[in-house]
Amino acid sequence: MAGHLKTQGDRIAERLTWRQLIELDACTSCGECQRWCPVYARDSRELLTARSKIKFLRKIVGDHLGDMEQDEFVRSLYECSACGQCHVVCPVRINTPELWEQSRASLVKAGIPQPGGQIKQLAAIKEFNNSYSRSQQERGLWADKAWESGFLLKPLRLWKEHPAPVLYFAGCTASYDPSQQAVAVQSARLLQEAGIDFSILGSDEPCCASKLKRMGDSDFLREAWRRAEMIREMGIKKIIVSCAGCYKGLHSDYASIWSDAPEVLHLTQFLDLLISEGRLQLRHEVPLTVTYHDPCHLGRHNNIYDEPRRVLRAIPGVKLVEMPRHRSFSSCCGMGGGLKLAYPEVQLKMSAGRIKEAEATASDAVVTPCQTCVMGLQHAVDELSSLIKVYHSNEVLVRSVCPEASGEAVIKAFSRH
Amino acid sequence: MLDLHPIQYAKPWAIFWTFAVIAHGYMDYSLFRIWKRWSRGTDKNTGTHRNFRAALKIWTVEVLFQRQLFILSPARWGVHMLIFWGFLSLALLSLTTCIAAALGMADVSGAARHFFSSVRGYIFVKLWGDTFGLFLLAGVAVASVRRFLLRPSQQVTEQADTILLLFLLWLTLSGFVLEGLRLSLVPTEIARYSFIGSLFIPPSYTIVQLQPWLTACWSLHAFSGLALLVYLPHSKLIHSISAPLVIALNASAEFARKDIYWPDISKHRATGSLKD
Repeated sequence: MAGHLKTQGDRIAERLTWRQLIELDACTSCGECQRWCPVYARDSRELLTARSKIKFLRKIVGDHLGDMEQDEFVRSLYECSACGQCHVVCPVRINTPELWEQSRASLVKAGIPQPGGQIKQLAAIKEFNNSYSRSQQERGLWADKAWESGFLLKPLRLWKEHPAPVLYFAGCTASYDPSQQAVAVQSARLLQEAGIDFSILGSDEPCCASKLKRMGDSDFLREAWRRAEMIREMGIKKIIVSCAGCYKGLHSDYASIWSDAPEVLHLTQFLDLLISEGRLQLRHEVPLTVTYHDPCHLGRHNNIYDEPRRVLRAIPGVKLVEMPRHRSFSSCCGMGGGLKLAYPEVQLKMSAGRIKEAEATASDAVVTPCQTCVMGLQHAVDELSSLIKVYHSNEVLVRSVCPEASGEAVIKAFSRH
Repeated sequence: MLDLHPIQYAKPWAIFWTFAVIAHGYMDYSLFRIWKRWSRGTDKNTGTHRNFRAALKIWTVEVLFQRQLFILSPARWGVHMLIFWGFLSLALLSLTTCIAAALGMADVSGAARHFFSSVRGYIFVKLWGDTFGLFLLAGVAVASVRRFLLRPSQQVTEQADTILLLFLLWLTLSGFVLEGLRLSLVPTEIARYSFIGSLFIPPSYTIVQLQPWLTACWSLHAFSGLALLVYLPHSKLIHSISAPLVIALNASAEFARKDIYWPDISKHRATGSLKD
């Protein structure tokens, strides 16, 4: 057969979708992406812009990219948090986060790997089922510690023992990271306060594996399918997720995988509902002026802007002030897309920029419902010696509902275990 | 009642149609190759059948009225709308008059052909051509000033951008010059409808004196138009095909995204980029 020998460009193009290949030709280099890009704002190199990446992609699928250019392109593809700001402002609506993730996966398949930091974490997720390289048995310990320390109204029940109507999915960060375990504890406590019958998976809880997709790991579909099957076999119908990344994973990335999709809600969506129905009582005044940071995975990627704001506004004493860039124009803290693993210095600059924006509002605290954003922003606060506080939205809420379950108290109690 | 005497001057029709067929064939082949390039991708399911109405609504607002650009920058929106509607309307006019000319050559009579050979039709063509020619000229002029003089930081100018702008400028200006030459031979009552072309009317010349100039100008303008067909698939103008396609495809998947497609304009325009 006079077969057409596949070039590297063909191999990369074959793993992009038809729509994405059209998108490469639809970019006019108008520069709107450059104007709004939070990475470019901190390091004004044209290479970092979406239009530059698209130009490189066009070249690589057409086999016109030189070796030098390839190195530059690969760096620019990973020097990006895939925050989606360029998607929002693109006059042609090129779905850039999807394009970057798919391109990363295509390049990996074509033999062009991710940066070292990302490879390490991807291997950890696949080997340990979490990004902390910790044992699965440790995953559910936060629940036992929380009960023993008196932060819960009653012990948490495991799904396998009590398949409740609602499953609370804590995620890796809130399960393992000592600085963020309070998020899981507070989430559980708030659900208990509202009288919700829920269970957790404990040591059976899997990593959602969405980070594999974020960083272009080609095993994502297989790993996600396994998890989706497990959840389907358990008969879970409603999942409440407190992690923005897990929410994007289970709600959006799994959308094409679920055979019988359970309802997936982010905690703030559920709490908003509970507050509006009067099931969660906000008892104490919290005298705080706060500014809200939209996590990309909730806002731009999933259109969740109003619910977290309604929750904050419902808390007596809380005054919400917006930063100039908010909602779909919110500037990214840099914690997404594996950027911190590949280029931590870039991520820090982005978080520092966001902290300066927050400071300019004269708020007491910047609040966000994503523990990963909390970690990134807190790092910037420490580096800048800023006086502004960084709170997970749970922290503000528990001060009104159950102040004894504050983050500080949880960290202190857990450190004694 | 005004009487319209068609202006007769030599036009190299045979060469023109030969080149038109070649240019069109080349453009079609190039577009086919682009299509093949796109077809290497996976997942050709567009999903448009599910949300066709929503996608069409978004497409209308986003492509025909370019609301996204308006939200981001009313000034840039204005310039792009001038170029977009100017180019599109002139392309439609060229297509229509070409078809009318072809019908005339084929000696096919009908209402359409009758209209274009009447005074009313002539005036309509003049008004249409001049209005949208002015749109295009103004748009290209302002875009050139922005790109080459103001040079905003978000603008990157490549050779292809310069070539395309010069090409469009040349096409528009050569069209107006040709129009001016033609108008010098028609009654003033009719010529005035060509309100821009009439600015290019030369001082009194006879038809005999003007004929070689008319032929030269017509040829330059017409063959430049054909050159544009050849250049289109290799230029940024390809976005006139791919961008509406992408908008339609993405709109069908994201039609419910009010933050992207139906944002609160007043709220978002108040925000600034980090560079501002």
